Amino acid sequence: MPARRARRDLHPGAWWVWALGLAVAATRTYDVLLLGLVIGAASLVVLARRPVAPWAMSFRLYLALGALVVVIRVLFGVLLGGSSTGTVLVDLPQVPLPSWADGVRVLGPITADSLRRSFAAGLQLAALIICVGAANSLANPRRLLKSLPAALYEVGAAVVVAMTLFPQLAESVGRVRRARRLRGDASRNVRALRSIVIPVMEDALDRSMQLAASMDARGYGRKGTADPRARRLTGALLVSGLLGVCVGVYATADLTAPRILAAPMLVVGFAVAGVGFWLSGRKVGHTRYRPDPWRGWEWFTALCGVAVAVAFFADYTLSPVALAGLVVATLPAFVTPEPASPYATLRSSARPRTPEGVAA
Amino acid sequence: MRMLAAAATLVVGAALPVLGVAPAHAADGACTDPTGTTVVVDFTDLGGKVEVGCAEDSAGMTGMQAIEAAGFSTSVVESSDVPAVCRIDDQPSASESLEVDGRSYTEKCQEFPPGGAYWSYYVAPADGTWAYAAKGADTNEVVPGGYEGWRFQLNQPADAAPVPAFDPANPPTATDGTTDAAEAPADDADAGADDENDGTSIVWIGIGVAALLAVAIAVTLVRRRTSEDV
Repeated sequence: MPARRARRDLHPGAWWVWALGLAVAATRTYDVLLLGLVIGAASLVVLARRPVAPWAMSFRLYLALGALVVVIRVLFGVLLGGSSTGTVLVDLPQVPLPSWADGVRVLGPITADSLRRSFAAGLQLAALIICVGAANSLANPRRLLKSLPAALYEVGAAVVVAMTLFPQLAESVGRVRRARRLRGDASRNVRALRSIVIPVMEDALDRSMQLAASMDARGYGRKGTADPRARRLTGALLVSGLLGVCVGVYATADLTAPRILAAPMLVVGFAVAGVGFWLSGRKVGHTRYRPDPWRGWEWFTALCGVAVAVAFFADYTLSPVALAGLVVATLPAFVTPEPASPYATLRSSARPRTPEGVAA
Repeated sequence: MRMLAAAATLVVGAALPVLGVAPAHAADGACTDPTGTTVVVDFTDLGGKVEVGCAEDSAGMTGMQAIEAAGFSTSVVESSDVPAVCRIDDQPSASESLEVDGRSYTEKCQEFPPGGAYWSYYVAPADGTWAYAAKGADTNEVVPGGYEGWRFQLNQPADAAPVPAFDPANPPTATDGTTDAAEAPADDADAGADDENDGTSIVWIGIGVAALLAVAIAVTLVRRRTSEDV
């Protein structure tokens, strides 16, 4: 047996590239089997490589959300998507509608084909949700924000605070309820709700004051040396660049738009926004503590995601190319290093102590 | 190439009329009985001809039912719950590159077709003129004795899209060379059977991959459970 590779967490960006590649592949097809395989590939990699961490437990929620999306889509397909041709499965009575609602069919015959199309469309959306969920479970959100470009630093800090809010609230509610039970107050009426909500809100306020104070003490929110004119310039560059990107994306999708608005506008938009990013990033005088490395396995994982997207662009039907792409997408589950275990430090500190304990 | 294929279709169709799956065709395609609705499909923009079929006893049929009853096959857009026609008689096919607004476009039937390459749907009463259908073909009820028209619009102006090249008020006769009776060519049926064979084997491979994936997920689950307990 080969020596086990050192455990380490991959760069969160690598997981995001991988998951987005899988999501792009899912948008290309309505083949039920292929979409199922996309979901399966995402699930396998999550199960094999998610770290032991709170955010990694959310994958089940994304699966449930995906199932809900499929159910709702099929229900709407039954409600509005009857078809007059094909194999009828259930012949529901059609609801008569007034003449101003011409062309809309409520209920009506459900055919095997229309049901399959609704299911496939729902499954595609579910696959997208599950791919994003996979990225969320595999990648540490705080580490991802740490690797953001410096220009997005302040936005990133706000997002970190927002993201830690929900788990903190849940923890806070649990603590207050436990305290109430210890005091022998186990009532479950509206008054009980008030006696939980008020301490929880007070707790939240206290915590945010504490967080603000500690962030201030650590130098968050310092503007650096930028003068107002330079700040306005970088702001204008960023906004106009992003607007250009939006116009370019729209023109690329719209076949009737003038071509000059498509690729050239995209390139110019990205260039202007890039300059804005670079300028504003230069003004932020922050250093990064222990940046995440981007090494071979990060490249490998990201390229697996890109490969599956490229395979689906080459052939969106059930074909050897698409299947090969999916197999490549599952490779990170087998070959990348396992995530670092939070128990590792416990184990390593426990081991040397035992002999001393015996000797003593 | 297309001309050759069309010619082959004609020859095969003439030689093997019994093989056509089309249930009912009058001699020249158009209905002879006023209880039927004539379905006109104009392939002009795809380099084809105007084909005519008849949906007999069409009272109560929708446009989709009529075009199938007239012997044409249709494919619908995959992403839409409401049936939206994207191919008639497998045209434009998934392997055919169209030039739409100066860009190459292949009809994959995954999303709605663009404004420069789509099947338009017209209706006409007996001896009337074509009118752009106010309802979709899946909800529109056909007029017995009337006409249903389909025309592929390739790079046609949205405000002046041409109607099917077939005058409902003055239907051409059988000797007129511009129209053909719609028929299901036998060679297409063979090609379809071959495709199906290829299709089933790849489906089995796909199911095999899915089974492997399921086993891998199960093994991973068990391994994680046991390793985390330690």
